[in-house]
Amino acid sequence: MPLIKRVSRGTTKGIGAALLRESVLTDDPTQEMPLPTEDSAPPPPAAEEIHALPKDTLLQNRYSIEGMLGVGGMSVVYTGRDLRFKDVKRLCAIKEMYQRAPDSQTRMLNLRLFDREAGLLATLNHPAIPKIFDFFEENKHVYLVMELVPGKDLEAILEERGKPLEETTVGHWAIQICDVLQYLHNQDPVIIFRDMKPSNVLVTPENRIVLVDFGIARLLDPTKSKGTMIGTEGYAPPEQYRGVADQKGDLYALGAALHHLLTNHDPRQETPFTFQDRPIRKLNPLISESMEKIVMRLLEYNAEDRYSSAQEVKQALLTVLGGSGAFSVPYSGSEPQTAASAAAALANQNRASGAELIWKFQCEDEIRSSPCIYKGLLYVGCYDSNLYALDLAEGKFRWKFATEAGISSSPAIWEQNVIFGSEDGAVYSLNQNHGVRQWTFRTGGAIRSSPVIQDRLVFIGSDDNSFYAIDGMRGSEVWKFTTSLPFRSSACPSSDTVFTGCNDNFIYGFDIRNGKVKSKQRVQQPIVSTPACNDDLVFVGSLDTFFYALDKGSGYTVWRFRTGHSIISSPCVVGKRVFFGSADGGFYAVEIKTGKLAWKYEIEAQITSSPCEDSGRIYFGATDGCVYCLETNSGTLIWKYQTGAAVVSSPKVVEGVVYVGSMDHCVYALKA
Amino acid sequence: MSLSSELILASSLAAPLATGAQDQTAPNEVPTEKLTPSEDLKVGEQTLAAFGQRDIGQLRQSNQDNFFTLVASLPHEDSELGFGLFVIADGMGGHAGGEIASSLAVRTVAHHVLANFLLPTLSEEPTEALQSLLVEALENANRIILAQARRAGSDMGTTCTAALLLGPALYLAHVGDTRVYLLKPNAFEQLTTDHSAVGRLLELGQIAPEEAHDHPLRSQLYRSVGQQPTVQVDFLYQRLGPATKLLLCSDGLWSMLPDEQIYATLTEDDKPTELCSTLIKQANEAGGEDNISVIVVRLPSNERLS
Repeated sequence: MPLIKRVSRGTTKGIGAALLRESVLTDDPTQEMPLPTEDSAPPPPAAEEIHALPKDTLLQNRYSIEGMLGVGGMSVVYTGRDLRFKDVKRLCAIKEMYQRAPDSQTRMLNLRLFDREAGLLATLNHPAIPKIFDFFEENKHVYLVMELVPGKDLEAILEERGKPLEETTVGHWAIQICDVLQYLHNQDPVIIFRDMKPSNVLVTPENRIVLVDFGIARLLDPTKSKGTMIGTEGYAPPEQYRGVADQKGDLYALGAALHHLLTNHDPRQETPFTFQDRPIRKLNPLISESMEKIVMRLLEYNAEDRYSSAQEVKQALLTVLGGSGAFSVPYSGSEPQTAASAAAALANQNRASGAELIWKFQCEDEIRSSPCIYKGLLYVGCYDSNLYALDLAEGKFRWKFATEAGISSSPAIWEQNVIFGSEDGAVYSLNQNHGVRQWTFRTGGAIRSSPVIQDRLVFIGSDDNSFYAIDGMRGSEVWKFTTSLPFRSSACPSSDTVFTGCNDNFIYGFDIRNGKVKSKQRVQQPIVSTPACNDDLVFVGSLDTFFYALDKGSGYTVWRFRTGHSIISSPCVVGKRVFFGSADGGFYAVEIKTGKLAWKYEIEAQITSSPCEDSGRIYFGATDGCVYCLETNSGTLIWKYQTGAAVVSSPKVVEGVVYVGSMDHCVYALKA
Repeated sequence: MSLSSELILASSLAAPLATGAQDQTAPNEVPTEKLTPSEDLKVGEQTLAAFGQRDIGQLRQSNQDNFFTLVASLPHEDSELGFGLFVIADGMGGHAGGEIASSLAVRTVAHHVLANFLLPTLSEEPTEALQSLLVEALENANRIILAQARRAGSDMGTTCTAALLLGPALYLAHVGDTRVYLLKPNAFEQLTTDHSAVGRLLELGQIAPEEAHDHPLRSQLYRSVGQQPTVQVDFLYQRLGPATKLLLCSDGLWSMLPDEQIYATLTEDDKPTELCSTLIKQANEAGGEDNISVIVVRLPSNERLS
């Protein structure tokens, strides 16, 4: 169907990746030309445009039309019977030049292409190239009679499968494609296929591949640097848009086709030349690293970074596939990658032993509070109702301070004082050196929120349904905001607004000076996760399983990201991504700009601990008792450390050491 | 269509469905000079105002561009929040297909946002995230246009760029090569990326801007609304900060005038009406090779936040 409309004199507005299968551009950019296209998607070409030959039409008194095989951008292909062989039914493919272009220039070009295809094919002899039997003109149409190759094209095979194809199957096809590309590239003059894509590769029932549609293959004339730009968007290499078509362009297109087959992500649907942003293993972890490497190198943006020849690619593929017979594996083959991924998991486990304990300190009950570090001391609350101060270097006990109930609140430091809440309902401020009480502020309910201090104001929520701003110096109330349900989320102050979540399903933005609500946004379940901010956005998770990004100024939701379970873990912003855990066992890295997943690390336990980032590594705990260390960029596991019980405390990293509490009553210092 | 008639009246839809080359000037949102107190979102000196205009150009037989503008003020906690919805679409496809596609896109997107955001907000009902709201709006347009195209056996499609202004931030959903520019003090920033292969090559430095400008494939899109069962929609969140104006336009403007000239024109005046006609005049003088449509939004000064 003609998708590129021709306008009277102006530009053409063309459309569609998938729709643009073949495009033509003259060497002269001022010369306008509609672009012949081909497509199988609806709406179908109008019947009167095709003028299909009826069955039993006789051509050259020799070829009888049996039916239509397919419609291309410039041609119709029929199944025909060669009547010269009277006793046997000898079938062939008859390609009819299909002139739809309204202007004579394009028709001339199309004819030239067709002529060229015929001439080209006639001189070639390779099992992966269809043989040509005849070429003639009749009733103002041009026909090419070719070997009828039984089989399906790779695009159809992929569509039928509906998921990525197996690495070995694709690999063995790729080796065969390399063979035929090498054959073409070795011709004198060199022949560039120029339109390598899954729909131009047929697979016969014997699993042999055959290249079809040589309509745009081009003899490489080294004296002519700029050629006609033809190819298929999505598969065509960048340089082809400048009219450069050479061997390396075919290798790029091969890479694009392999990427498509191995990931089932159609490059025509993607932004052109973005393969490097979509590494194969991100889309299909079953593919081996070495296969990914080969394909990604084929897809290098700069031609000089790609392989130098199809031969070289074939060698690399043979190494990956272990040199097994190229013609022996049916495309319904098994999935050998399970073994590879098992090995990778084992390797990960081995790597995990790289975690190293520096010291641990045992308290008398569970530690849910997260440590706070200041001037050589570590402070942490314990469910045994004490706040502990430990020596940072060796984990030796320095002092403790008893409250009247368990402490799940995490301490904060301000002006030589350590400030924290207790489930006894009070906020305490102690001298950080000796644990001497400076002030106590009593609220009407247990405190599970942690204090956050900015400009002398201590922000903290309470189960008495209030959120408080307390004078850090005197321990007196500056303002409070009361609603109908507890505040267990902690505060995130950001210039003149302090954000926090509440069990009443709202995330609030209070005016720091007076506690007036500047913005609020309702979600579907309570928020116990503590918000994090960047310049423009506030991030927070909710028990409703969603992770939210809100506009700081208005409180409106910019985007939200769904996980499989409640989000209790508080986010951490690093560069252009925000990181958080979910009770669904996933640890997520999400792009701030788009709300799209960058990567996800999955474990089989809830992640309620909040992440902490340092020097390209991100740390968090999980209810399986492990502390995890992942690479921030990729989410690759660097190490994990097993403690004796769930880790809901959030790690802190200082000078190459990770400090974290565990429900096994211990505080751990691990080598980062 | 269950929108309240007040909303429709207060807004301006560029063209009734497929009336061909009827023109041109749409009534503006908030009159820029004779501001009545209720229409004036005045805070400080700069007020929020928008105007849209389209022109057939010098060469085309029909106008395949369409747009929508709406400016309003929403009650928000103790104050107001400026609200603006701007949609622009450049259609393509023969036999009036382009006009139909762009008109459908503009109407569908505007309807979706008003029905799923503005009305619920006024009745204090929760709304979905703005990203999914806007992306769904364009996806809806895609579905509706594709269905209509299949019925009619047409190949029509359109670009579509929607900008939602809400207080201090701008939310964009975008497919194609209609563009959004932000005018800041001493800077002119193109917020959208053209979904054309040539645009992509330019982004990668594979071709020079001059080459891109004359490239025969420059208006060939790899993404459009209404031509595939699914469409990938770009979403962008942008803080307005100290920006003073917003420009939405079709390629009939940006391919005729260099960015420098558009920038210079936009800095000359503060009246969206004047700016629209000046820009269209300049594009016509430069050749007017395609339909030209322009929406100019004058942004309120940002001080109101503090």
